[in-house]
Amino acid sequence: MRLVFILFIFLSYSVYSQKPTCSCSFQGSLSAGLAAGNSPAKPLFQLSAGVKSKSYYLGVGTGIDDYQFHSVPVFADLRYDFTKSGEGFIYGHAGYNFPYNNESFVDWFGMERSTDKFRGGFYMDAGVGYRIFLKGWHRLLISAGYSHKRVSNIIGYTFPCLVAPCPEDKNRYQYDMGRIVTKLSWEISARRGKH
Amino acid sequence: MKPITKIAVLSLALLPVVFSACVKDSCKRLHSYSYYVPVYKTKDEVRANIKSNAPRDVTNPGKIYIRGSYIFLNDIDKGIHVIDNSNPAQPHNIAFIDIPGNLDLAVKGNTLYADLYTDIVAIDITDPLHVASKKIIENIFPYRHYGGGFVGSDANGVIVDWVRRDTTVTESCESTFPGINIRSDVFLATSNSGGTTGGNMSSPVGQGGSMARFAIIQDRLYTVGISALDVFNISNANNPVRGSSTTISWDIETIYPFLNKLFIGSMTGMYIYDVSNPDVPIQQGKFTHVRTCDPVIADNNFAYVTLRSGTPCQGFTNQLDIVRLNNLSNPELVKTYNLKNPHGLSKDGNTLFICDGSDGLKVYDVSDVNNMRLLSQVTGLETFDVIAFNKVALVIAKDGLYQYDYTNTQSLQLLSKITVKK
Repeated sequence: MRLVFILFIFLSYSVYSQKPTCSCSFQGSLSAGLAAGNSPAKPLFQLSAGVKSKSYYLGVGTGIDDYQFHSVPVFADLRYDFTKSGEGFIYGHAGYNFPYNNESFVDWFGMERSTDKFRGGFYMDAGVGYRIFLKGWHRLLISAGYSHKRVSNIIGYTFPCLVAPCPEDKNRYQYDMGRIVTKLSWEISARRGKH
Repeated sequence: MKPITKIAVLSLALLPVVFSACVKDSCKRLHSYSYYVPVYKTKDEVRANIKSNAPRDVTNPGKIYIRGSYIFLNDIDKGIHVIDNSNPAQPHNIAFIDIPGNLDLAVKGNTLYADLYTDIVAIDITDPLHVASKKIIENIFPYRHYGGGFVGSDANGVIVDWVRRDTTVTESCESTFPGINIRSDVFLATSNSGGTTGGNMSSPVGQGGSMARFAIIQDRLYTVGISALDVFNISNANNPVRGSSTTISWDIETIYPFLNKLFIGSMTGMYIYDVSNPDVPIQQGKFTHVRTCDPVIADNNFAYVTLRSGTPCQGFTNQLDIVRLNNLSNPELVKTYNLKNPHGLSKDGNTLFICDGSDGLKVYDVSDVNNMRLLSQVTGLETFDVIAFNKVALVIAKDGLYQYDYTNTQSLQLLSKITVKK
């Protein structure tokens, strides 16, 4: 979380110090939200930075996503303002999800695992949002959409044999999680006001 | 805030409340495993092929027997390699005897006794290049099975090979237990086994090692299955005659002959059987230990029992127990030494050789059993069994068959290695 905040401060400085020399402008956002599905709702945090040209924004983002499994998504961030005033927008994220610091759900009669590791997978988030223009460079965004993340847990058990090494039986448990995501974002743009 | 803004914010805030019940998490299990499909031959085909065939690479070494200048090395479930060891520095693999389902062997004179899955076969090895099957006694080991619990079917003949198949199945995490899948006609992986030893240049009878299930004393062949001790009269070596069968317990592992005693290792203890009457073994004593694997050897005064843990052996004990044999009806523990994962062992005079798994081969001076002293250690190989005889230590390891000169017990010299080809 601290890293995300530091990155955001750095991003903010970059945005402030940039002079508009073309129709495009740098833009960044810091989001906090909630992911809710049929597993318990969990908070998520995201940071995105990129370039906006006319109604389009293209950037890269990362964050922390604790829904079911701890993970760090890294994604491409595309937004399109569908209203002339720039208040309504749709967005889409697509990328890869890196799991960290997770514990397996699998237990087979308490047997010791010879392999227990997590692998990431596809990550996406798509939805619609509304932008409230604040003073100067600042905007407040509220958005909601559908998000999907995949995490795999590879479990191996070594069963008895007469002499080592005994063969290992491996299983990949592939978890696909769909959830509704609501976010509140603080956006900073190099251009003041509506555009 | 403008009305449109209020509506937008409210709508977006309510979206999760309305739709979160519509999305679901899912889990599927992708289970990748290899299984082996048995290849059968008829009993007639198998028996006709018990002869000296062309030499093959050693692929899965098991038990071993020395007879004269020849080494007979079991390749698990396949047969026996015949190795000319006239010069231990240059052993030659000269023939392979196809014996499907073979794990154990013993030699008396010019006759080799080997298990053929549940049967025992007597083979004339007078000319190792032209061996001949002399007699087969059926169903000596009725509880024999392959690794993974697979039981060969007599109706289909004899299993002579396994064909590997790799597969991945996908199923819902909720639908099955995670873990092993066993089909009735296949098993998941090949089995392995330990090794054994034997051999004496002057004696007509070979000498079993610490992990053997066959032992010979004079004119009797003793075999242990999972539970029973069987006796065969081999006065006529090529015509073994089945004698008595004694049930001991359900976890028998090894048998070691010394003088007129049989030391039988089980997962829960060491049994001592007296064979003064060779046809009627009588239990004389038992030394009980924790549940684990325990090869055993003995001399006039002591039995040396290695206890090891591991998936098939259970338990958490890895040690050498030295047991006093003064009173055979009540063997007494003298001292315990901790080891890493001891398997087979062998003794020559006061020198004790222990295969300590991934710690390699350890050589000890046991002239004082209360103060066993490490003389040397050969590292870099994962060892299973050893026979030390005539200043040459024959060591079965994961990657091959090694021979060491132990003239200087403080510095063993590698003479040769027959590499395992996978």
